Amino acid sequence: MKPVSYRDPSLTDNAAQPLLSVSDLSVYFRAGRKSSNRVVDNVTFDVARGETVGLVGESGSGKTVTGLSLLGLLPEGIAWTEGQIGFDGKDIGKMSESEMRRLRGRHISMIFQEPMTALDPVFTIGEQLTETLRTHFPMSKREARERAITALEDVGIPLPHKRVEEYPHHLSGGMRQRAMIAIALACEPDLLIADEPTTALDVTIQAQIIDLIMKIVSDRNTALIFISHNLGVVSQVCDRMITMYAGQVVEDSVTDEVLEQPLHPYSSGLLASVPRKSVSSSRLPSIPGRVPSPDAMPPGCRFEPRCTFAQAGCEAAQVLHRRADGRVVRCHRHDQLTLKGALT
Amino acid sequence: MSTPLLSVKDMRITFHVNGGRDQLHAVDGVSFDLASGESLGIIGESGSGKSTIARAVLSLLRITRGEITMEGKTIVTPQSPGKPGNYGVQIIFQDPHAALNPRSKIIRSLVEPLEIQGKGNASSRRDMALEMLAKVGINRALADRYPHELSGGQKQRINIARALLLRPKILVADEATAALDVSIQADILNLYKDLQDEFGLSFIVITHDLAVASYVSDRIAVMYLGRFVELGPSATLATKSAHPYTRALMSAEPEALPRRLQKQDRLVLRGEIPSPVTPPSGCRFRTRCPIATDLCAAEAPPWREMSPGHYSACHFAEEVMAGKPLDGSDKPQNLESVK
Amino acid sequence: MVLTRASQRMIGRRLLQFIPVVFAVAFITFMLLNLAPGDPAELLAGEFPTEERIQEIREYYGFDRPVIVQFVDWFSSAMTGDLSNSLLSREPVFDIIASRFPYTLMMVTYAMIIAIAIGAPLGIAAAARPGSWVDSIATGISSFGVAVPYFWVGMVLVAVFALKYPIFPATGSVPFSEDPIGAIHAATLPAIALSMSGIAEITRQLRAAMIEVLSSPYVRTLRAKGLSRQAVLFRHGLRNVGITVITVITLVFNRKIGATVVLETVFAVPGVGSTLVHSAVNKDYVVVQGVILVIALVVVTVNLLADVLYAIIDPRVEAEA
Repeated sequence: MKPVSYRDPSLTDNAAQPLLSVSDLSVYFRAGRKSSNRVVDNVTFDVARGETVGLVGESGSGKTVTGLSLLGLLPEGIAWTEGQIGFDGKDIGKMSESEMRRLRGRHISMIFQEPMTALDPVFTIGEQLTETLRTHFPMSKREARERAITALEDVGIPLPHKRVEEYPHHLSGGMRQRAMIAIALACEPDLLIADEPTTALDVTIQAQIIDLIMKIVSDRNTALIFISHNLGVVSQVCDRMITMYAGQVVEDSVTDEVLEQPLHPYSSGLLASVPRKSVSSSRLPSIPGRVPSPDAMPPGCRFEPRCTFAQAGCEAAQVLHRRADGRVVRCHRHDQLTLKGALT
Repeated sequence: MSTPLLSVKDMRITFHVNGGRDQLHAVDGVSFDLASGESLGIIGESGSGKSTIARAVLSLLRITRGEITMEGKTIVTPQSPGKPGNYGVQIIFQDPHAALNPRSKIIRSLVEPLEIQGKGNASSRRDMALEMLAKVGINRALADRYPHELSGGQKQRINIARALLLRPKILVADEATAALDVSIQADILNLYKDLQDEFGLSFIVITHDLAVASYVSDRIAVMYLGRFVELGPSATLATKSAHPYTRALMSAEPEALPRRLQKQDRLVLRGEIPSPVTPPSGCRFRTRCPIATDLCAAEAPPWREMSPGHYSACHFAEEVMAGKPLDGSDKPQNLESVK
Repeated sequence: MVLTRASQRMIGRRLLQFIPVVFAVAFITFMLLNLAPGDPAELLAGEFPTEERIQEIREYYGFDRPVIVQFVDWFSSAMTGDLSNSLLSREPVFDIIASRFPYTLMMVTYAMIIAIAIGAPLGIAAAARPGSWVDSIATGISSFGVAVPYFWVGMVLVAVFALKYPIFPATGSVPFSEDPIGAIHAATLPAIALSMSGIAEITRQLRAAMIEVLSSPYVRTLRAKGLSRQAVLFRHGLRNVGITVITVITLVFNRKIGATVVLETVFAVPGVGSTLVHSAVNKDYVVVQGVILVIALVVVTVNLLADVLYAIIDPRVEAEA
């Protein structure tokens, strides 16, 4: 079997340049005949090669939509984007559908939350794997099958030569998610987007999948965008953490820094409301109110109606502040407030 | 000790699967008591049987062995299943949307159970409902809205209000916060505590989330493949667990902490929960247990009291409680449990 | 794609259901025909029958026996292939059906081919671009096909393509075994008329099924892998709507069999449908009974075939069985 060169010679491999560079990305969804809602609003962030970045926030924060837009997978005719998505120096937003297709699964891959429904039920695991390989590489069926077996082995699926013949419903949830990961990583992409990959799994299986993802991305130097509402999981997996609220990035910092000393009141509120097994009995702090709906966004700071630190000046629209320490926050009071973190 | 509010004795619940050819003991010999005003957490992974216990306590399904008593009175036996909702136990489920009729106003969903029970007249029922809404922190103005106009958290509060209108002594929460965002979950968990204080309500909190269970429960029962493997005060389980499965669960659940404070020796269990149709011999956890020996395959470990109120079913409970390392790095990967 | 043991068991169970279904159909029609007005004995006795003559005929044919006994007698000989003789022509019913059935089969098969050939591509094209002009055409055609009665379409077709422009014959038919091309030529108009509602049904159901498949989470996974729209639609979409295709084809086939009763009369095709009408009008209950039994057998066989195809196409069938 001749080795396939996974390295694409067309990649610039410029270490100084981020692998992914999202700037002022907005996503609109049609809401009726003439109107539309901006569900993602001017999102800006970079991801370096091999970096692991968490995208956290509650439902309605726009984190999944952001992930899908990076692959051009938003529903056509219903959603559209503005802004630039630079991937390895090229603007994805300006790519044709066929160029995008060569990127998907080859350079950028995505895994989804529901292992039960994310695989085609009437194709075998092997077919779904070889199909990805043969879409991107000239490869014989036999060769692809060999690679599929290796790929399943790499993600810790026992008896891979048997599993390639089986259908998704033969596998448990944990095994399906492993198969999903095998498919996504079959072509050794440069960037993996994982959308809540462990949310539907039991904790002991979640632990296995987290270990697997961490090991593979670090072995292969794959960049990872890990979308999750679970701060515990993100704190384990990700170097950096981007917090989203109501379609905007509100904070972007090294994970440990956010956990110790968040800069945005929403990051702090999220951290505080997670129940901890070590701390008990006292009341859990919660964030009053609810996430505004996309057609009724507050004109100023979107978190202001729920923020306990709101004061004059907060009713103005907030911009992202790039601080001297490299941290990024969307709050004009970031240097006045000392917020509670995971330890305080 | 006084009579417990609820007492479940040696309960077994059997389902017939594969077209009736196989028996599945979803719950296989579970006993526990619940005191008045107490909160018991039952944790376990999918397939452990925890939700089946919830439904049995509600008389939503028939038990095959054992009995359930309420304040000393037998209410459920295999021969005479209890009448659901008739003896002071109510339940709230995971999906806050499914439990409310989408075409009825909130107030309608609230007064309906009262009508069925024949309580009061139309206006007094409405007053009771509105009062209860206020108690669970819902603005009265929302009473005339439809479910789709409300958020998931609000709907779950309404489900709680509806359950409470029937004045239960016990509220069973079956993964009731699993579908909610963390900040909303925090609100609901706080509400549990308030209700416990205000009504002296007892809780059975069924969850897969150890942190949720620890936060709201006085005691926690850990379930694996239809059986309790450990039961004890929440604080004891968190610090001095006497079962490797409990320790594994604690270890598996990542806490939002900076790297320097994260446990470096995380115990990741191998394999998956075996089929309950053909559970392993002896100790059911042995196929995934990092410290299992031949003894564990030969004999089911007895249910032993390790300290007052703290029980464990493990042959090596003492060692585990003393902090025996559970690395198990010398154990080969278990393939047969992976289906 | 081979049948696993579980799906073989499933098919075995379906085969066992076969017998009671056929029995039930036979029993119910027998009883209903017995309740229908008109005494076949009176009919057979000629124009001015005497009471004795009628009684004689009753005894000869066994009409005086209890209905259940008559049924058991008839059904047990039917199991051996003897459907007894026509009351009118005295011909064995089996022979009548055997000579007529090819015409019906020919017409229905022809209609099915037209319906699938037009309906399937139309449904898939509509699903691939919902809201496009293709979709509007497909929706229009399927509404038209459902709304318009097939016998009316038949008469219009005859008026245009047989009488005004004599391209096809208005009535009659040619045996396929003797002159295949002539047979197809003759069967064209009735087959087109018969296919109308089938086109509509297949288009509509396939469009709905394909839209559902294309909006399922695994299609997003397929797109994320870099598959083209065509690969998603034709490779994955088609196999996933397979179940629906089989279901709707079976359903359409069953309806077509029913529709032949009227259409064969309109086009004067000597198939089982027109035989059924003719015999029913003349109170030849023995033939009616035999034809219905054969139709039931055909329908049940087609359904069984569909079940086998389900098991082959969808690997999940065994899990649910």
